[in-house]
Amino acid sequence: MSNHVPEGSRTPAGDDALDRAWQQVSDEQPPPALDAAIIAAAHKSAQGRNERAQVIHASLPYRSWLTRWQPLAAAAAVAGLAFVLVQSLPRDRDVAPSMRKEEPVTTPAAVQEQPGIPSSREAIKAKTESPPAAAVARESVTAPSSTIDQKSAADTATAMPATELDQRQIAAPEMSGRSASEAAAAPVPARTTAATAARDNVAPPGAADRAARVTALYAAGDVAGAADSLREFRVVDPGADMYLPESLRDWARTVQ
Amino acid sequence: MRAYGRGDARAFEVLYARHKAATYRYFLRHAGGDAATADELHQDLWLKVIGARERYEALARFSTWLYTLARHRMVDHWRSRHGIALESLADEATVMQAEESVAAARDGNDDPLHATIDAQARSRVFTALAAIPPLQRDAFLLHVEGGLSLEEIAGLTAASGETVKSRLRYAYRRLRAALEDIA
Repeated sequence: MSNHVPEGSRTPAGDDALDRAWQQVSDEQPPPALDAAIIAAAHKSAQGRNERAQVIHASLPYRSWLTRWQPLAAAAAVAGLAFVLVQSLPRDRDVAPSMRKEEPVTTPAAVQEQPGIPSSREAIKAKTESPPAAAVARESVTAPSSTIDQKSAADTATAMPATELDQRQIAAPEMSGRSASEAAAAPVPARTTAATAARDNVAPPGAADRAARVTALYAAGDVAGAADSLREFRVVDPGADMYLPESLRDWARTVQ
Repeated sequence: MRAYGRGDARAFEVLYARHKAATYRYFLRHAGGDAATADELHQDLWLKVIGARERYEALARFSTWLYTLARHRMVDHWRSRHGIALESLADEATVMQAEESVAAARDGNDDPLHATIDAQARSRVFTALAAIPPLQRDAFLLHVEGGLSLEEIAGLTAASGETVKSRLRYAYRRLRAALEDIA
């Protein structure tokens, strides 16, 4: 194939006869081997481009997969991290048991719901007026409070029924001649820290379990069993009713 | 070329079949019939085309772009082989130097066509072509082999249209004289 200038495109400088003569003599072609080499190079280059295109095309689904799942993966990672953090936080049961078990005791409303029991302040007052009781209290000083500050300790002490105070020998330090609140407000070496107070005011062992058992039996409909369990609890701890939930205390008062 | 740029190798085959003879002869005439040089330059040109397939932009006719590459390759060849820049061949001294180089290359050519009866006319034409200054020969080859117009040659060679026209006129006159001798 030749690119010789067509006849119609002659320029003024051209010569048709000369062009024809030129076309007759100038007819060389590149060697077939050279043609083959060039064509092969072109194919190879085009194949390389197609291969690159295939690689890019093949990598696209991977990228789209990443794009598609990246938000979900991120959400899963955040959820996992949150779970780990929640698991690592201190749980409610890890808190000192006494701090929870004493809560009903510190509730004044709970005390007020028991008309048969004198108020705590009256009981304390009675104690302060009773030198023997105060003496007993002095002999076995046990911090009654489960709370941190001294005022709370005094409140807790005053919340305890008088009978319980008598039997458990719970008394505030420096009880003689002073009120419980005053005694609690006074600096006491045995109650320097909250941890110490919590340690000293440990509920009777198994009290929570016994209360839970009574509650469970009552909830299961075994009222008789719950009553028996409560009676046993009372034998161990006369203040057993205080460990029961408020919803059971009305029922507990009916149990003799 | 754009189809080939997209990876269609068959498009290149069509393109190559259309232009291969003209580009080969362009180099062959400039090399004074030295087939080995023409082969080398021809191969270099088309490998450059292959390498530029993805960068090719159809700003002009493909043949204009193709012969721009071909001419650059030819100039590089002249510069490396003979220490001559094609653009500096206008003066007489460099013309003589170029013709001697072409003649030396021609003497080493054992093309079997030279042995035929028509080979005499062929030889005289090619000799006449080799005798004209390279810029005029280049304009002539771009015109008759590449099929480029005056304007395209002017743009390709960075010369004015009138300059190209005079170069072509001079080349035609020299070649016509050679053919009249044969007649």
